[in-house]
Amino acid sequence: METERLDATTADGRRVAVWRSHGAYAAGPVILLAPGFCRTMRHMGAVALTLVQNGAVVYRFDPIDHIGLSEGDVRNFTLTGVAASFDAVVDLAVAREPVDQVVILAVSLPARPAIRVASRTAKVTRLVLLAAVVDVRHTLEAALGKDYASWARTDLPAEVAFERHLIDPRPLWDDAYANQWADLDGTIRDLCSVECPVVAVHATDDEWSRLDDVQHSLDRSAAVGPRDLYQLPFAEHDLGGNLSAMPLVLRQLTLSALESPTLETGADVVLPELEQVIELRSEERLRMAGEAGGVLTRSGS
Amino acid sequence: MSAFVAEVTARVHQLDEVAPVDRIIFGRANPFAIAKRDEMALTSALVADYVRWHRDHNVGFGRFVGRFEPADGDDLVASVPVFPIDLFKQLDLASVPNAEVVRRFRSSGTSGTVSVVPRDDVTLARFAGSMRVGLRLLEPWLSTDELDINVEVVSLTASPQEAGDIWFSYAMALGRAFASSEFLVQGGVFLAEAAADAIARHLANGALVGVVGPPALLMDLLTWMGANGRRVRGRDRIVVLTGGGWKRRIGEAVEPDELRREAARVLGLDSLEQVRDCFSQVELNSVFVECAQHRKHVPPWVHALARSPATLAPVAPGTMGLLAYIDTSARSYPCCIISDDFGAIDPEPCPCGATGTTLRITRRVARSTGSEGCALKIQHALQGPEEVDG
Repeated sequence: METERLDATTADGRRVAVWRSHGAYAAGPVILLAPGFCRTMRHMGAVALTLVQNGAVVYRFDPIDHIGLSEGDVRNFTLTGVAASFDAVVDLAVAREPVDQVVILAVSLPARPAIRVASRTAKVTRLVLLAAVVDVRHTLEAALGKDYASWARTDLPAEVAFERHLIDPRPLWDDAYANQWADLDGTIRDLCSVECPVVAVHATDDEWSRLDDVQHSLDRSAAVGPRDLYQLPFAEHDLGGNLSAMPLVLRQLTLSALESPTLETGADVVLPELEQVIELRSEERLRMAGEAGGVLTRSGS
Repeated sequence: MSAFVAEVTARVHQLDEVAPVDRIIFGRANPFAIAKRDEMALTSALVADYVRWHRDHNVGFGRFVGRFEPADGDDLVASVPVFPIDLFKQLDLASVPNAEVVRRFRSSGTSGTVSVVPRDDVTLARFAGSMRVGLRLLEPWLSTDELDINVEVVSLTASPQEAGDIWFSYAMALGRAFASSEFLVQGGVFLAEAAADAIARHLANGALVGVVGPPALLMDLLTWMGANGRRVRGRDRIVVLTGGGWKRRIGEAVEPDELRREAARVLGLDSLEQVRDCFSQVELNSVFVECAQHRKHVPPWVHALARSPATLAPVAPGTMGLLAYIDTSARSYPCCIISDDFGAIDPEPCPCGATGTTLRITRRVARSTGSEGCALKIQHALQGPEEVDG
């Protein structure tokens, strides 16, 4: 897999760092990968490698106001910022590649803005969601231990910690209310405007994003376009850390993202070996540290 | 007129289940927080399934366990037939097709022939998972949340490329799955100055530094740093993890507490708790990491028992015996083994608060003709009578 660094630009001129990866053939279906909250594009290495090995061209990116290589700090994280990052990378990919449409594969929290992006552009041909967050308020309460959405704006603390990253909940709160990100109904409304196929791969024991909520939101929008839900029994939200379930998840994500035009009928997915994945993790850790201009740190990891 | 309109819903598909052992190794819940009664039931159920699986996938093992039928119950795990690790030196014990074996790992071979253990991707993934679970015992000095974010490992071992199929070095290098790692044994030479440079550099950059390696090389590093005026003030930003024992340098071995004190002095640590040892061996697929009380905790997917060297019957907790393990994380080979190590299962819960059996490993067994005779009988069963020479 060969990877090159690109930059996309949001509508308001902010820089989004992108890694474009391809295999032996530089052209193929184009897939955008967005990492989960407080993960970076290097954490999507195994998914990128699998997709590339199966013929795709992959654009990974770190959203603005997040950890990673893009502009801004995770302290000011908003879902509108993630949506703006998606828009920028979709435009970059369509401009650079010989395609009119791309597939979006989003993990966890960025699944929510990915749904909105797909609802307002014809450039997205398919939406694949892994451990999708559809009820943002519930997920944030489960992850942070408090339902900050129910607090008065003036009572919110200046910062909360998530996996040792410090986040200011006030811009997140403002954005959630102003742009209808917070609740399940908002997700369903957006999904009802998504005509392209939507595929969700979700663990049955996901406590941060309930399987029932995902199924409900897909059911409610199924009349608009094809909806598929792949349930992974007895797994939890952080599927990325589950090395043993990884082959199963990678296989399903690849089948869902590429579908038949690329994978010939009857052909199975080419999966990377564990050692390849571990090597890639090491290499991309160094790559990211190099692009960040130093070692990995809490703000730049 | 009303028309019936079928409601359109999402198509729902079921993927394969995550295996029970993987739910524990890779789940969010802390495996060292399971209540003792639940842990025993859990281990018992895992072992029963495990023995059945290998019996059905490994002809030799099936012949070895014979009519043994695993059933739930407290006595199950003690009654599972186990075999001496010597057989890994003589037989290919794979339970999976050859195409699934990623590598056949070898022991370091401090004496005589070496064990050869076949591992597939699933087994390797679980071993890496067991390392991560073991690191939970290092909290609060090290948070597993922080591993891939802000931890730099200075590894006093060879790189995975140099390690090849030698299990100890390979296993130590698997930590790079979770954290940025630098390997300071190159071409068989330990680069003490480079290791000291790396520690100082990572501390200056605000990282949490993990110093990982065998005790002999840790002592070499500490000696070099002390002699060259390179002591550092690590405070709470360094954790030290040793493993693998002193091996050929057993003559230079110091008591664990002395090694901890020296590490704390040279590395400027806040507490001796920041220096831990861990245990594994090529035939085992999990790591037993020390807690703050310096007891090695056995994770719940492994059953550990001390057995009489004369009869192989289980001995009472606290009594010395040959340590035997059933490690249900090993898919590619049956890990129902009697080790070469003498030790004891601690009779009381660990004061550190973490649950799980804890054990003390004291010394390696000297081989005798008696045990060879025993091994030959078991080899006979595993291999089939027609295939055994002499």
